[in-house]
Amino acid sequence: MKVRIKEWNAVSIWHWNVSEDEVCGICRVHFDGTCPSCKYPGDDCPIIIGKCNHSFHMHCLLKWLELETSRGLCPMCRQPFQTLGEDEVITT
Amino acid sequence: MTAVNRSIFDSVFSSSDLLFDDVEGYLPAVDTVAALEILKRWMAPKDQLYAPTDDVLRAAEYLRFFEDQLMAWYTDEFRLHFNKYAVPMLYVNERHADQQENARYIAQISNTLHDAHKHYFHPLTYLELSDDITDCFQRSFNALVCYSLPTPFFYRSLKDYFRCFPIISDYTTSIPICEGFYVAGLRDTVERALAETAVVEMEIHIKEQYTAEWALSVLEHFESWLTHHLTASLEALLGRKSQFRADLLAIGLGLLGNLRTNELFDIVVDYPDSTPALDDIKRCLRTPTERAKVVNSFQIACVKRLLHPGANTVDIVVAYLNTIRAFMILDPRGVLLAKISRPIRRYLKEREDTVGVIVAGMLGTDDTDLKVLHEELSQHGNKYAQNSHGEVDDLKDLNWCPDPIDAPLDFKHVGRANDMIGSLLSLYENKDVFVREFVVIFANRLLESEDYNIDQAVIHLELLKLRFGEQELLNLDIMIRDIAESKRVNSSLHGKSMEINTSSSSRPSTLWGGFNAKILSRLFWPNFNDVPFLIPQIIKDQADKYSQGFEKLKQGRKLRWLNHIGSVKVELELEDRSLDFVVTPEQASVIELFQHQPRLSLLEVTNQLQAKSDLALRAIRFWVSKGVLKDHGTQEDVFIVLERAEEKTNVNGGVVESFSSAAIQSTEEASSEEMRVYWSYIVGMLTNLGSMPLDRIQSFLRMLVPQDNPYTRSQDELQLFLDLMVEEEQLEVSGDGYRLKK
Repeated sequence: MKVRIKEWNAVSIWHWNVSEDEVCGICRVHFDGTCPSCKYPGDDCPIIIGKCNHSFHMHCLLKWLELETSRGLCPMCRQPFQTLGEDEVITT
Repeated sequence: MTAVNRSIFDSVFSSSDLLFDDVEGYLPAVDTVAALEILKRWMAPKDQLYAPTDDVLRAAEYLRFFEDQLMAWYTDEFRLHFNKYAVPMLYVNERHADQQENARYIAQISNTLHDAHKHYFHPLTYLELSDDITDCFQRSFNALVCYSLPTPFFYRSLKDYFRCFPIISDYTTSIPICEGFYVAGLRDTVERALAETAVVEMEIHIKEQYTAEWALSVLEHFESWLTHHLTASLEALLGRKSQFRADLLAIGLGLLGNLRTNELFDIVVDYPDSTPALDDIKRCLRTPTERAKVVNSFQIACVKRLLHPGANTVDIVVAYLNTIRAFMILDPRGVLLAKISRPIRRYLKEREDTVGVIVAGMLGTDDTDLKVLHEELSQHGNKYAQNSHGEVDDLKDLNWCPDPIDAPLDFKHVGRANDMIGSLLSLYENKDVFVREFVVIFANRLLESEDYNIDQAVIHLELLKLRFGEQELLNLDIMIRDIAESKRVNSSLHGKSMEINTSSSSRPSTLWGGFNAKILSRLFWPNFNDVPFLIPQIIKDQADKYSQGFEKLKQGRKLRWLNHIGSVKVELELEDRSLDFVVTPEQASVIELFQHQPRLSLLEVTNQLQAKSDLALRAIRFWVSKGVLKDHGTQEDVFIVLERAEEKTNVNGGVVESFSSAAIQSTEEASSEEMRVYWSYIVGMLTNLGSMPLDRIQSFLRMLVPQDNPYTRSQDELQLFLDLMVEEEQLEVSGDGYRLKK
């Protein structure tokens, strides 16, 4: 017998490249979900990963950084918040 | 009067014709005594009727002197005479079983009384008696008749008689008989018998003519029948115009209402063809008692014929919808509906598949009677959606009126009678149950569609949004968007799209064209049961390539494959035939194993797939049922490829698995799974308070769970969850409550 697979329709789920159970440090919503001001997850509501290894929904963090009291610090570790460059890899 | 009758009476009263013989020996009336004697002699009842002689007429001129005396004597005389001759004619020994004899008996009484009246009143016509005296005599006569007649017996016989000679069809024979009774002062009795008979005949007419005639209004026909047949005959029999038509109509409406009330369930089932009948009932219902009876009998019919395990849920929902519309015709205020719909609603709520049926109806998925829901959804859309929460009285409503007086306590205004969907949705406290069901159905449909076609789903979603609101259906929105997005990603990964990725070297150009994927946002889809097994290596390579491509395309994101979901098109080339199938991934993976080894045991399949044995076995069974694999026969759990089709293989015998077999959790499972969020609250309260009954846990959760994500589960869902916890040995049942297992 010869089995010829003509078409394979697979299903997958996507997730952000962070540990699956982690939630946004600001809105406490799952990264794979949306920040409170967004409707659609994924492209519309990206996440941002800092050099300090803390991740947030981008919108959540931007809102925080707009506040004067934030002084540009990461809300978790109070270090100046800098985004991780494209090629850098998070070390956990 | 007939000849027969005359012969009976000849012996008593002889002919009724007047004879003008001179009675011998009359003295000239010289004084009052003599005159009295002359009159007495002339008046004394005889077998014949005599015209007065001149002497008598002369004697009558003295009448005023001895009027009282004469009449007292005459009254005694006629009584004696009546008792002697007439009374025996009025009695019979027993009730006549035979209709003919009974009729003869009635006629005999009528004739006797008629003749008696004629004879006894004959002399009085020649005398100028005062009115008082005449009345007095008349009363004596009537009293005597009444006293002499065996009344209850006579009354029964009279009714029997009318049953034999119906008022409507046979009234002409009865007219002279009735008249005989009338002159004897029996009008009341006869009228009563006639009235009772009329009602009986009306009942028969209604039953025979109108049973199960719902397509036309019968009221008009009934009224004209009443006027032209029953009333006309009755008037002829009674010999006068009367006011009874209104009474008869009232009774008739009651009878008709009764008939229709008993038929109501069938009428409702027959809706809308039976609308005229409903209008009729509406006119027949006048008193609260009748309305209560409608409610009662309909409820009993419902319990007996609808609300039992044998009835299909679709049928119950259809019947419920019909009930709503039918009762809104009967009683536009909605009081009756509120009363009768309660048991149906309670029952529907208990049924497990109600939500599914309603949802399927709304989406028009299967071709049931519930398609009306889909039509309503597409036609009316948001017509009713606005005030779907408006259960409190609207203070600005100028047309507001108080609840009807007979409304039950929790009566709600049913202003939206045609809002079928609304009334079904209101079965449950919140719309979440429906939304969850929608999510499952949409998930199944979207995953089943092979070409990323979302048009149909989008249309449905838009319609549903009008009804349920945008926010509630956000999940569906995202699911549809996921599929659309997947299409874009898929085509760009296959190099069909030009927009992204100009450097062709970075594109995984070796991606096989037959491999397509759907990429889902996991939080917004139903939970997927994890079913681990290995897919064929070549496909796995493709999937890995696909993942790499995706990671390039969408920075920072990764894919996780759900191997058990999806569909596969395979072609099997066997020695004598080639077969095409669309199968599930696990079925494809299993048959792929047999490509390399035509003979495998269940254990080998399980090991190679790294799957649970029941999954492997189910897939093997599928192929056995398709005639591709075959039980080895001698060795247990060993299967071989059937290279040459066997004539008599049990091709259709096996159990063919349905496609997406439980790939997606059922709503029930999912909701229990989601309930685990509240587990910590439950543990907390049970630790502090010991054992607690279900309803207290429910109300505590309502209170305790923070309001930004409020607790909206129903008590039933909570119970399911708690029972699950009992099964998992986390909880135990104690008395009427639950407590933590130590």
